[in-house]
Amino acid sequence: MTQNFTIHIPSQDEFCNGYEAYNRKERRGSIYFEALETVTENWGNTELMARASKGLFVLETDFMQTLAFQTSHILWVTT
Amino acid sequence: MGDNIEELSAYKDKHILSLSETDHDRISHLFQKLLQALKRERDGALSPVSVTKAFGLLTPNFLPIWDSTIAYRYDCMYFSDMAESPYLRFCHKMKLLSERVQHHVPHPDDRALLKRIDEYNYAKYTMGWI
Repeated sequence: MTQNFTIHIPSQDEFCNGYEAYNRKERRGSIYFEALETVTENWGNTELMARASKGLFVLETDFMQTLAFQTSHILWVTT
Repeated sequence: MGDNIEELSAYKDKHILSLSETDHDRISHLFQKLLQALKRERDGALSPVSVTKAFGLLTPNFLPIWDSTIAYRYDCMYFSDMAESPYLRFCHKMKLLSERVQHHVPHPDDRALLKRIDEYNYAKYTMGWI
């Protein structure tokens, strides 16, 4: 499975520009760290771990719904 | 999650650079279990994205995060109920990327290398910020 992979390997500048742009523009980034802290500190407490994870899923669902709405709106405007 | 805590614990401190084909069966099994466990109650929809978001919390150094755009851009497109095989391919591609960019992040860093890679992928492919 590892043979013959062709992927884009970013330069150091491009890679750093990417994660810096994320941290500048993505306002929901802190939620990941809060959830990670909860999971790490409560490893083995599956109820708390699941609850922490769920916060990210709700966020993802909201985001995808917003993105879908924006995309359909753009398509509607441009057609 | 309770049913899979042992397997998750085995991967908790593993690093993507140690990924090998011997991990495939366990990753596929875990992926399927979480896919079913995270099924949306309202309509039963399956979300391979949610599975990897969970991996990002539970095995942050070992199993990478994707979304449909990122998967597509790495030629690992999936269907909701047939995502394990593309995901395994994606894991190996992220291993290769990890090898190449591991020196491009702060040392020490406050987050996992795979989190940095997800931030880069999201900015470049999902959002087109760079």
